[in-house]
Formats: sequence, C-alpha cells, structure tokens
Amino acid sequence: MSPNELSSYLIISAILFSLGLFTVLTRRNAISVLMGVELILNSANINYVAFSHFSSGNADGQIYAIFVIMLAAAEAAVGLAIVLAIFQLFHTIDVEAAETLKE
Amino acid sequence: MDNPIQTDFIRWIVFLPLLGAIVNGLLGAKIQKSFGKGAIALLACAPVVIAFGLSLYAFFVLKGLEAEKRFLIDNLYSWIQLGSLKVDMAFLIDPLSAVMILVVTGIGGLIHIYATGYMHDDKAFWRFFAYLNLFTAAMLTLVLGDSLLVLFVGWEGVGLCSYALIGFWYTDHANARAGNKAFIVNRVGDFGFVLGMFLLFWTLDAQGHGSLTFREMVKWAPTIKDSMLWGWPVVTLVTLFLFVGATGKSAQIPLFVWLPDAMAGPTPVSELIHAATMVTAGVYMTARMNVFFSMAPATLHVIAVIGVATALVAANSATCLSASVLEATLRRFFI
Repeated sequence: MSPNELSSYLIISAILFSLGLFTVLTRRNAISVLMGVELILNSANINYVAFSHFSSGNADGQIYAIFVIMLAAAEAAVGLAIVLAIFQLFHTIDVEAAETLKE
Repeated sequence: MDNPIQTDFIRWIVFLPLLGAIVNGLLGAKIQKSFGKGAIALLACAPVVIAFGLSLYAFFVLKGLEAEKRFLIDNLYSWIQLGSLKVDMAFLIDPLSAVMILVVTGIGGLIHIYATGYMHDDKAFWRFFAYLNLFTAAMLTLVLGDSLLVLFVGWEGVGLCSYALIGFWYTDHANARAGNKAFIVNRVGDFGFVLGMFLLFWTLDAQGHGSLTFREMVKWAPTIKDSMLWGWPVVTLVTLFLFVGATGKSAQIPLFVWLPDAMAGPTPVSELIHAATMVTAGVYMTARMNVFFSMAPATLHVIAVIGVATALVAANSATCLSASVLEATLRRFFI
C-alpha cells in the first residue's frame, strides 16, 4: 500500500463500495439508504480518478467524477423529496413501511 | 518572499478543533452518557485553547522575522494537479492571517468556555460542541488557506456550520427556517465567489501565470491590469464577483436578509458566528485580494456605496445586527 500504486486506490474504493452496499441492504431508515448510495457513487469516483491518473494522466477521469458529483446532488434532491413524501403519507421513514403498492 | 519557512505546527491549529469536532460528533452521545457533560466541555474547549497557544507562538515567531520575510507555510500535500492548475493543501501564516487566527482562536476559545455554562441544561450538549468545534476548524481553514481554493473550502465549511447552528433548536419551525434562509442566501454569494475565482484563474492563465496561490497571484497581478472582457476591465469584473461573495458572508446589501433571522440560534452562536468571526470572512477575503481591489477603482466605489447603504439600513432597523454590520463595513473603508 503506497500512494503511488493503483491498487491502493482500488482497495479504498472497494472498501467504500462494500460499506455503501452494506448500508443500502441492511438499513431500513430511508435517509441511511440514501447515505449508502452516496458512498457507492463516491467509490466509483475514486475509481474514475485513479484509473485516469495512472493510465493516461489527463483530466478525463476527474471530469467524469465532477459529473458524478453533480448527479449525486440531483439524486439526493430527488431522493430526499421522495423521503419527505413518504413521511407525510406513512408518518415514518422506514422503507419497509411503504408497502401499499403490494396490494 | 520567495522562500517561505516550512513549519509543521501550523496544521495543528486547524486539526485540533477538527479532531475535537470528530470525537464529539461521533462519540459524543456515548461520552456524555458515561462521563457527563464536563468531559464533552473539556474535549471541546481544550483544542481551541491549545490552538490559541499555537497561534500566539506563531505570532511571536513571525514577529522575530524581518518585515519582508514574515511568511510561515505548512504544505500538507498536493491537492489538485491538472494542466496549469496546481493547488496544494497548504496553510499560510503572514501578518494578516496571524492577527485573524488570534481573533478566531482567542475570542472563539472564550465563547467555547462561556457556552459550556450557557448550554449546560441542553440535552444535545455534545452536538452543539461538535458543531462549534467544526465551525472553528472551518474558520481557521478559511483564514490560513494558502490559495483561494483552500480559502473556499473553509468558506463553505463556515456556511454549513452556520446553517447547523442557527437551526440548532430545530424542533421550533422558525429556527429551522432561519437556518435554511442563511444557507440559501449564502449560496447566492458563493456563486459570485466561484465565478470570480474562475475568471481570475482564466485571465492569469492566459498570461501564462495560472495560479490560485495568494503569493503567486500578488506577484503576477500587474500582468492582467490591461486585460479586457466584453469591454470591461477583467480586474473590475473579478473584484465585483468576489464582492458578491463577500456581501453574502458579511451580510451587506442585498444579501444581508439572513442576519436578523440568524439570531434564532443559541446566543453563543450569534456571538461566535455573527459578530466575531464569520461576518469578517468577507472582509478578510477582500483584504487578501487587496492587490486586485486596488487595481479596480470602480469596484471600490461600489463597495463604499453598498457599505454606507448597509450601515444606514442597519441603523434604522435597529436590530442587533447593526453592531456587526457596522464593524464589517467600517473595516472595509480602511482598506
């Protein structure tokens, strides 16, 4: 593990991705699920920047990362709006409580 | 001037309050339950007081140097390196920032100690001090930043903490709304700041000296004196954009609307953010970019007019904002 190796960045990114996925799968709180999604998106960002830095050395990966950050902001805005709507309807943000579509 | 002294202790002025914020933020609830509120207070106040000691030390180190060589720099790592854009995560102490960190850590430390008594009966004691420490760390990043971009990190950090602290008693709807208002109004100002930063870098880069580091920018400022954009001198545009950012943070017309509502937060917060430190951030940035502002007389006129207008409005509305706004305004006149 050193800052000059591609693998160290990939390991960090893999750890972040796993933590994010774990959060999304195990949490029932809608806000926590959104936070897990953010972790997953950011692990993808690290991959973008690391691969671009170690392969071509140009700015492509970093520009993609900025696009992803922007998308993540939009996703959070839409996600939080949905969470608010769910809260007003069910008076809880437990994702498993919103099951009226089942019927 | 070209060989600033590399020192390693400056980073701790920022890191100690940040560490306090992390410990209090992540473990605060448990610490408060098992060790009581005294432990939280100690964890919150000690880093700021030690940071004040370090600031004093830095001040006297600086005083011992010759007047032209008064630069201490702490370069942590290379943050962004992309084409001609090169930004280091670095902290700089020169006479201007030395005075400011003494204010932030000195007054900030006193307010921390005062707040331990003021907030004593609050259930979310730990949360309050986590925010307060985070605010101090962000403010110190703002003041110590070696480049415009590092300053901007602190700039956004204080905005976030101000939002969190104004809306600290969030169960009351009015407080939450006041926090929201402060945050959104500040966003408008930040947009101007970012535009000014982009334009400045772009123009400097066209002259072959692209940089966001203060010392480099000061050095190459004369090269963009005659640059024009859409028939305007670039320096005037840049300083006007930066001033829009400053109006947001320092609560000048037209972006002052958030300040009266901001008194919804706990009193120590009003003291720390809205009187002692955050509103001076805009003034500090203006002083930092002094070279560019002095090259743009048109902007200076705008600043003078807006400053006077804000002072009049503030005096009329006679809320507690007048003191801080007047202070900020008057200081700007002396630049």
